[in-house]
Amino acid sequence: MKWLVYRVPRKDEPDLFYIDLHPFWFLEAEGMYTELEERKERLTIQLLTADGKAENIEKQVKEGLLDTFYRDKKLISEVLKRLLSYYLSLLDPLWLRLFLGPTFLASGLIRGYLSGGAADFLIGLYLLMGNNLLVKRIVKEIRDYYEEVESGIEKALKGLERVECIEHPGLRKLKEIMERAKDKTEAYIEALHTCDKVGLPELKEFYCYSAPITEWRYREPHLGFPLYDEGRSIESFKRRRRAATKPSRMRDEEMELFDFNIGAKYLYRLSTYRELHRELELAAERIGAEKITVYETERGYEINAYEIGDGDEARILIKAGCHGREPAGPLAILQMMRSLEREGRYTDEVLSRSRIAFMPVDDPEGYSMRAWMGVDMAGREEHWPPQGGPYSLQGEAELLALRLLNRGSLHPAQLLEYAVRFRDPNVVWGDNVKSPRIAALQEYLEEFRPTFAVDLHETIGKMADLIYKGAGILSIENFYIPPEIRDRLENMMKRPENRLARYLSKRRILRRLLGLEYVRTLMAEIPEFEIGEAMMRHVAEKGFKVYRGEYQKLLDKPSPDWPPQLISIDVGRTIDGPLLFKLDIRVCPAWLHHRFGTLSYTTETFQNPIDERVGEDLAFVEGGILKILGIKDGD
Amino acid sequence: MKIIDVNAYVLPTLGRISGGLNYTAYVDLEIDKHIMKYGGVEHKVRIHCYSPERLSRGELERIARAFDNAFSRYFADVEKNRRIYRYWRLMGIIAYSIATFVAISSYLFLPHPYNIYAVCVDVFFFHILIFGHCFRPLYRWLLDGSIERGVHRAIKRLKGCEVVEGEDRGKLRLVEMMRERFSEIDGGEINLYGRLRDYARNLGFQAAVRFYDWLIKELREEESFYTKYNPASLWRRIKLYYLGFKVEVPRITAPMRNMDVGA
Repeated sequence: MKWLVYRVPRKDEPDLFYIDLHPFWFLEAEGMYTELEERKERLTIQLLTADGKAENIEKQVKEGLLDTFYRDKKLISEVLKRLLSYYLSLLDPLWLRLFLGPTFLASGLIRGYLSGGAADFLIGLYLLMGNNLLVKRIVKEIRDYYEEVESGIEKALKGLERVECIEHPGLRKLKEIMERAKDKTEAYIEALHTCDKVGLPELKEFYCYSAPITEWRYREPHLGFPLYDEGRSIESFKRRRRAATKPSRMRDEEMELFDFNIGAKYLYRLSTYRELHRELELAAERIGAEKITVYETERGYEINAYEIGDGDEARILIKAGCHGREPAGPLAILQMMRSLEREGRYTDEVLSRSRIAFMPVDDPEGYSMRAWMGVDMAGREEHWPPQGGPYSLQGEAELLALRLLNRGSLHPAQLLEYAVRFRDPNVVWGDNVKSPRIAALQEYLEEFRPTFAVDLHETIGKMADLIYKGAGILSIENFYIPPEIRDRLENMMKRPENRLARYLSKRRILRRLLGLEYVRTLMAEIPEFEIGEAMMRHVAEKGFKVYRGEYQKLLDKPSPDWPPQLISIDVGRTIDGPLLFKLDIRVCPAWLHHRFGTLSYTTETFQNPIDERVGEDLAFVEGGILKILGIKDGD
Repeated sequence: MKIIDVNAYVLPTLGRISGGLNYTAYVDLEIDKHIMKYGGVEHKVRIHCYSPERLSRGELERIARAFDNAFSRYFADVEKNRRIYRYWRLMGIIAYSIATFVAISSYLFLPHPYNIYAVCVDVFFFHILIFGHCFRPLYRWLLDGSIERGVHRAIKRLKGCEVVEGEDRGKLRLVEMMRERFSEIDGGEINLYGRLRDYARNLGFQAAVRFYDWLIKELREEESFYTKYNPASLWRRIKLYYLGFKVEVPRITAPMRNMDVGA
């Protein structure tokens, strides 16, 4: 029996022994352990290396494997056990217990012994009690089984037979990149985008972790903060403008506003910011867009806005790339700009009646690194790997410690916010902004003053895929919710202390009634809600998936103790929930609505093919633009 | 020891998580059927790999380990279900015994004249109990039992696998033609796979048709692990309770380097 691990080259550091711990590795290891036991074999490790040379590596590999196992086993087995106990809870035949059991019991009592009531009583008793005991037994059995497996894997790793070194050309190529590159970050970014091409996609995550420029400090708790000698000043960056040219467009009658013929292969080739930027510049030139350089990052990357259209009926902002690890938004904006190279049925009308600003990428470095940027209270920026942000399970231990100190008076989500010093750049908008980047963006938006805005986001990653894989587009309508409605909503969504009230509050029908009541109140104040409906209808008309079904249920009840972060108001449509109020989170679109009364939306796309994610964004934006200009009502 | 020859093909695909272009090695073997067929014989699997470009030993070993991992995953799933179903079956037997006793005792102790409506009620509930609690677990018992025995036999008798480069020139030409076709086309991911599947069907390349069919089905699915196994709906609970857990048979695939023309 053999197991594959990697010797991954790094820049200016010794190679790293890397095991691909995908979410189901434990299941595979479990099967492997069963096979080893049955066949009375010992484990052999195959180490893929750049040159295939082995030099006294056996002991290191054995120790490294055990270290990794001990470090991750608790987390992984806990996650698996949690998933399994949910999986097993399916076995609990609640409807049998609660409906048939009492029915039989009552029937037995009423009919009496002689008319066969004893048997009914027996069945009722069994359904109420006996079945449940067996279900509990099953849960115990499966937990024991996992513990056995854990100890089995440990035994297998300790009794390692040998280590085989095998050459892999992909690793050789990665090593060449490390040797050739001068800058560490650039080396890791190049390696990250080479992994797919050399057939080692599982190493991408490793290079994502390694790419960030600065050492991460996000795990420092809020027990004071470092005082920098020279804090970053918020001097306004002098915006540069490049004048627009006159474009010539070919007529395309099949197209409405945007082109939905999306090439997945073409999009996949634009994996770094440089590649994307080149295409954006080309498209901007062809469509005659005015280029505004809003900010320039420390590494010399430009954050640009491209403005097009001469009308003043609507000022439209399409923004994306706030989180670098979400590539569909920037690619969707590129596709929108490329669509304007041709004249669709409504292109002329839209451009003559409105002014559109495209802001494809807020975080160019993050886009190349597939990383998430954080901003601290001094305005400093850091990039985090996709799975290692403050919202990942890694912070659980700290969270637990804080929860113990806290004695339950704060909400777990609030604790999480306190546990990290760096915050998501999407939640620091407003008057107290410290980050020069966000300040520059804000200044530009204050000048542009959009009347309609869409911010394109994604929810992807290993753990997110376990939950949201295959879900369609979700729209979050970020309208500013007045404090009195907030308070009301918070009270409605509060976890009841009484046991009976808690049970009743779980009932879907009651929750729905509460939600509807709330929405009705809100809709009376913000009549523009129908625009969201038209946009979602447009997405469905174009044949793309909308967030619905089982996924919609997830929103209502994300976790037993937590209030919902979002509240669904319709198929695929949500508004901010009480969790966001508690954290005092104001995302960019919510700030826009508060500041200028902009109709603001955030979209979330999930794990689907890239062309579908881009298409969903395109359809949503197209539906919105056509609706607000009254060109197509979507009816 | 018997050697079972199996083919693997390196076929063009697009990356999944954050994009990128890579090829995928697909081992044309269905694990459950293989186990049922060869589980009783001591054997080794030899995978003949057909790729548009020559593969290094490291890449060939990745296919071998993908084979091992998929089998391990299947073995683990079956074993897990065996542990769960042990008690689930017991539940079925107890329910069956009670139902049988009640059915007989009702007629034994029935006073005259008996109430026909009460009998109707009894029969209605027996129907649920007998069909739901007894016949279905009995059927699953027989079916799962044969799968578990097969798996147990296979664990002992399957002596691993080795991967060699395929030498059939016809099959090599087929994978080359797939690569050429892929380099000419672009479009949506599902659309691309659909076109490749149609092309493979025209060539009579059935393994590629199966592979792309499976990929398209995976991509079209509006389900995640969570919504499959952590559902709240009553219907899903009832369905799972009576129909039992279906063990998903993993496909054996391993990512390969980009072999696009001009890459």
